[in-house]
Amino acid sequence: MITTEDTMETDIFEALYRERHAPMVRLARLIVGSQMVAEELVHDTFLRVRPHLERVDTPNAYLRTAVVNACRSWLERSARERRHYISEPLSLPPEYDETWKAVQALPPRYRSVLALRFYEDMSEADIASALGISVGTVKSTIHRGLDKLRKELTHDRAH
Amino acid sequence: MTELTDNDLIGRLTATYQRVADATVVNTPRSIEDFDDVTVAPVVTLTPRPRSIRILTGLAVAAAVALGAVMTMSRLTSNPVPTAAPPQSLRHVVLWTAPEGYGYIGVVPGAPGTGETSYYAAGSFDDEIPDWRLTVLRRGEVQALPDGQASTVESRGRIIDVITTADGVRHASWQEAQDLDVILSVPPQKLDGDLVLNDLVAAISYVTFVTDAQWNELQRRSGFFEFHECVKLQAQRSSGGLSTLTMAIGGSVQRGVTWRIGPESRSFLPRGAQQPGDPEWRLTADPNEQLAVGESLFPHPNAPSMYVVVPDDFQNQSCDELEHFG
Repeated sequence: MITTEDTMETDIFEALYRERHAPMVRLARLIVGSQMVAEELVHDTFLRVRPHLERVDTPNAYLRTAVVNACRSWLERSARERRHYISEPLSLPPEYDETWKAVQALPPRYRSVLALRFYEDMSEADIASALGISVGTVKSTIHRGLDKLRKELTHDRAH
Repeated sequence: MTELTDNDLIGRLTATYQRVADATVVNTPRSIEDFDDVTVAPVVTLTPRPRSIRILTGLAVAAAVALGAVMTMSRLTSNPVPTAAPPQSLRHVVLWTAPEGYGYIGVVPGAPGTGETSYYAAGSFDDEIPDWRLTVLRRGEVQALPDGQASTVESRGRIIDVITTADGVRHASWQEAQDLDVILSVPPQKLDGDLVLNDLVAAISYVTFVTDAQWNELQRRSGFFEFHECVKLQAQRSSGGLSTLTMAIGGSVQRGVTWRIGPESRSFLPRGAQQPGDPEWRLTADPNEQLAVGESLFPHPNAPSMYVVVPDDFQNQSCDELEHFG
């Protein structure tokens, strides 16, 4: 029997899916590097969050946090597992290509925080809330992440 | 060479993100019915699309790595099994679950004064591992494993005995240092039961008892650390030299029961004797390195005789600051 609740849940989910699927894949790709993996993770995340959507006040934020967590979990797996994946080639100008490679060399937590700050344009407080960490940790992660990027890019230029 | 300023770097990073995002062409299905070829109207039922075994493995590993989070988020319970009384100084169990990269340490409190030596924790992780059970026994205590199909799995060099009972529950058992036996029971999973069990086993890299003093110290320092902070470590090599080391420990003590650590926690920079160009000394690179005890907080899993020292005045000092300290 089809209930009103079923219909409502489907409506919320469909709207969220149409609006947020592509942006979430893009965000996920910026974190994990691979579009294929990003699509898998986002797909899986949509499946996971669906039963909970009716109970959350801000489905967009809830979904984004779930996607980022999925990306971080994927990145935090063993290096042995990740080695099987290769980022799809991108045709970027050298300057951006160099930066993109440096970003992908960052540890997982940096990638998530930097993408949320400089792609999603979220505030440090919002990132802290989304990731369940302190604002201080967000700040230090951004600071250290930029430092690592700078070193990586400087190193590349020197060679 | 001119170093990139923060503004330059941020501008470049932002532009790179935008370029990559623009290049990411996503074909979002036009309607929900197109989602994974699931055409079930009017009530949509989504099913996971076929995924590669690698993705499944990855999710399972992710689940395993998040086991520590379960320790805090899920209902930790203590369920003593009647046994002989242990030494009063060993009442708490520490699980080290950081085989590679990120990891967690869960501390399962015993019941002080009750004298139990067995510990039990149960919880759930998302919808994928709805229930699991961990029992730690002092060797010699007997907890009969159920009847079932016996097999073994290899995990990080350990041979783990596995019993699969008729209801699909898999019980892995192995021996740990300090005369402990560990039994991990995992019910059938939505994913691949083998993968989940094996990865959970792999995630639990070390189990040990800690003393009341160590336990209290952990509790006292709850919430003390932040990611990417450093602690100083004092250790004495078997050769006699005393080294004060700096340990980068990306983590935090949360809710008094979980210490989340990062990969840096396995790297130690020798102080004093360090010369420019010296390679970073990785504790895990030389497991035979014998280190005597300095001031003790709790033992490190990869060097049981090494103890971490956290100075009282340590707070909000960055690794860089500490590395220039002393």
